[in-house]
Amino acid sequence: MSALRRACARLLSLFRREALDHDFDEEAQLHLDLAVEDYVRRGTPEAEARRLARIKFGAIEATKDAHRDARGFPWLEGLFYDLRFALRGLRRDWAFSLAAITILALAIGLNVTVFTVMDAMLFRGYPIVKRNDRLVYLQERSPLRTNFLSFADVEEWRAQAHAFEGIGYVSSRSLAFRDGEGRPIDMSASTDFPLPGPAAIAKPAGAATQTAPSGLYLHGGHDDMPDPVSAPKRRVIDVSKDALALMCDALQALGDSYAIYGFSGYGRDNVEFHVAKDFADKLSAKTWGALAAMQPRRSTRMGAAIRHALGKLARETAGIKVLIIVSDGYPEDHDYGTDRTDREYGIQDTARALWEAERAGVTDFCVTIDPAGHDYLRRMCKETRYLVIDDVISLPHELAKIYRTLTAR
Amino acid sequence: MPDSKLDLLQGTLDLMVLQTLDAMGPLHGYGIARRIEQLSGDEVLLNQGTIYASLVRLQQRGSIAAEWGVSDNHRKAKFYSITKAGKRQMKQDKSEWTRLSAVMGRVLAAAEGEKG
Repeated sequence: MSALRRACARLLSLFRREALDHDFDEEAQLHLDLAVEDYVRRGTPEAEARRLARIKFGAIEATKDAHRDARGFPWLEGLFYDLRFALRGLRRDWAFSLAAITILALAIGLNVTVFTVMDAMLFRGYPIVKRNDRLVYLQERSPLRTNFLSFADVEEWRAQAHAFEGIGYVSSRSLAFRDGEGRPIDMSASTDFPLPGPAAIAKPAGAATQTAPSGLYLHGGHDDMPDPVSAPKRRVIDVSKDALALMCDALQALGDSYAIYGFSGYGRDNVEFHVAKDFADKLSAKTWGALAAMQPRRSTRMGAAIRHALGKLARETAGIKVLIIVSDGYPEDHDYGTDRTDREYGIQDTARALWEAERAGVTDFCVTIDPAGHDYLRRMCKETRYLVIDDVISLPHELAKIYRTLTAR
Repeated sequence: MPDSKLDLLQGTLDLMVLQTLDAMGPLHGYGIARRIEQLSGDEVLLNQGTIYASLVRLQQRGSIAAEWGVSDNHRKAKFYSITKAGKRQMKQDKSEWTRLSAVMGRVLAAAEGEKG
C-alpha cells in the first residue's frame, strides 16, 4: 500500500512540476533568510551572513534537482526530455530525417513481410485445417532418399488407418495421376481440406436407376472427371443428372413406374446405394433435391449395385422390367480383383449380375461415356444391350431412344 | 574534537528528521536543519538543502505531513510534523540503529582489546 501511495504521489508530481518547484523556491528562500537573520543576530555582517548561509545550504540548483528526483520519476522525465531533444534534432534537418525515416519504414515493412510469409509457410500450418497441432505428416523414403508416394498407398492408408480423422495428399510439385490406361485420376478428394473423415470417404458415387413398366438406370462414375472427349465441357455427372431429370418428366407423362438410384463402392463391405427416387415415391421436390445431391464418389462397383437393384425390381409387378446402367468407366474397386490393377474380376462379376438380371426377366442395358467402353462392355453385355457414347451431351437423347426401344414404344 | 566533520551514513538523515519532529513538534525545514546541527554538536557535515529531499521522501511514505503556516517572524513557511506511521517507522529504525551501533561498539572494543 505504501509503495502504491508513493508511486501515485510521484506520478501526480509530474503534473504539478511548476507548482512544486515554486513551493521549493519559497522554502529555500525562507531557509536562507532565516539563516542570514541567525548569523546577523550573532554579529556577522549581513554580506558575510548571506555568503555563509548559501554555503551552509549547498548549491541551490543541485538541491532543487535532488528535490525533483525525490518527488518524481527522474527516468521518465529524462525520457521525455530526450524525446523532445530528438524531435528538435529531426526538425532541424528535415530532409535527412525524412530519408532516415523512409529507409527505416522500408526496412521494417520488408522484415514484417518476410516474417509474415515465413510464419505462414513454416509455422502456422494450413489455414484451412482446423487443428494444425493435430496434423501428422506421413512420408515414405527409399534408400536413394527419393520421396515418392503412390496414390494407391494413400488410398490404402485412408481405408485402414482409422486413427486419423482423415488423410490428405500434399505435394510441393504438380503431379498428374493417371490410371493404367493413361486416363487422369481426379485428386480433388485427396487435396481438398478440411480433411474428410473416414465416414466421408466412401459415399455413393453418382448412379441412377430407373425402371419403367420395368427399368433401371445405373450411373457408375468413379471420379469427377470431365468428359474426356469433349473436355473441358460439363462434367459427366452434371449431364447425367440433366438426362435423368428429362427422363423423369417423360416417364411421368407416360405414367410408367420408375426409380432412380446411384451407387458407389469402396471395398466389398462399403457399397453404397443412393436413392434419388424409389418406385413408390412420387416425383416431387425431394426427388429433384436428391438428384441434384448426387456427386461422384468412389469406385464403380457394378455387380453389387445391379443385384440390389434387381431385388427392388423383383418387388414390382410390371410386365416389362428394364434396367439401364449409366457409367463413365469399367467396373472397378480397390478389392474388385486379386489386386487393384486386376479388372477381370469386376468385368466377370458385372457380367454375372447382368446374366442374373436376364434370368429374372429384366432387360438390361449399359450405357457408358468411356471411349474404351467397347473393350469391356462387349464382354459383359449382349451385343445389342450396350452403347458407347462419344459425346456426353448426347446422353439425354440416347437415353430416351434406348428406353423407347427396350419398352417397344 | 576531531579535525573533520562526519559524513552522514545512508538512511541516517531520514531517521534524524523523524526523531527531531517527534521531539520538537511541527517545524519548518530550517528549524529541522538547525536542530540536527545542534544535537550533533556540529560534528556532522550537512548541506542543509539536502533536508528538503529527505522531507519529500518521508512525506511520500506517509511518515510526515506538511502544512503551510506562518513562522515566528511572520513569514509564510511549510511546517512538517510526524505522523503515526512515521512514529512506527522511527521506532523500528531506532531499534535497528541501536542494535547496529551496539554490535559495532562490541566489535571495535574487542579489536582494541586484542591489540592491547
